Amino acid sequence: MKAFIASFVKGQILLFAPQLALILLILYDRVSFYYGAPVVISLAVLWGWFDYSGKAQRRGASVLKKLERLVDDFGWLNFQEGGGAGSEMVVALLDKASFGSSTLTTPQLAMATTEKIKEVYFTLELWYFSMRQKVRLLLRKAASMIEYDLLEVVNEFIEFYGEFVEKVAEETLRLVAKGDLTSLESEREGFSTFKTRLAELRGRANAFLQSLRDDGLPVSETKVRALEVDPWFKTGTEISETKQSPQ
Amino acid sequence: MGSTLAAFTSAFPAVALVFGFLLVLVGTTDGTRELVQGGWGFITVGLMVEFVLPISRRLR
Repeated sequence: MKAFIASFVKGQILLFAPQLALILLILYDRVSFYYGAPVVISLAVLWGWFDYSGKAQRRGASVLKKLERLVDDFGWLNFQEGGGAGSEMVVALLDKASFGSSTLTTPQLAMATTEKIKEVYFTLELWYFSMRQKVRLLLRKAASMIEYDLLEVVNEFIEFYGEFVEKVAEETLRLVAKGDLTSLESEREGFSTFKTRLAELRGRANAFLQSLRDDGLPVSETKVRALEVDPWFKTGTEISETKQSPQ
Repeated sequence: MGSTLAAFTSAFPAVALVFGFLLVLVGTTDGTRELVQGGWGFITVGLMVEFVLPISRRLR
């Protein structure tokens, strides 16, 4: 509270001091009321405006920092091989899957789908880097940022997240599920870690979006798309089904 | 909305100065002392916002 009052007074002292001085001078009849009134009123209006815009900027910067962390974590998990995610990148499964003995698809069809998914992945990768740059740029010019910029970049993140999960992650996993999963047994643990990290990221993103909605920012969604496909889980169900069928 | 508001706030000192000088002019021609005094009030605000505030912000 003390720090808040101190920052408030320090920031606007040049707007506050003349008001006080002029009011005292008017009261002691040293300065004309007609001269003092416009000065006092204008300075009071400016004081209110600077205080409001300063608070709005601080709020905007704090929201952007949270968004930047989410965007960075998403990129670390899905795009930056050197960043630590490495083999956990979901598209890496496409190069490791084999479809030779598959009855659900042909190798040619699988190859064509793989190419399509990789194309979408590279497009989304470009979109990701452009979005990350936009967030960083907004963070640098937070002083002149308006609420619309903030809303636009948050909505872009929601749309991007949904597109990536739907068109890259789920498509990849659907295709992988059609192939020979026994050759991917070593990747199962990596995928499990990826899934856990993505779920944790989704949880943080949802909490962030809900807090923005609670603060009155009309974000398009309060929940980002969940990853609903798990090829190994399906296999597990199938295995249990085959175990039950002879009885 | 944001850009309109930004344009308005950046135009504030100029508007205050022009309005102040107009009041002084009208007041002098009219002989109304109150108008002249009010005009000088607006001129003071315009000068403060245009010069004093930016200088103080740079010094901070």
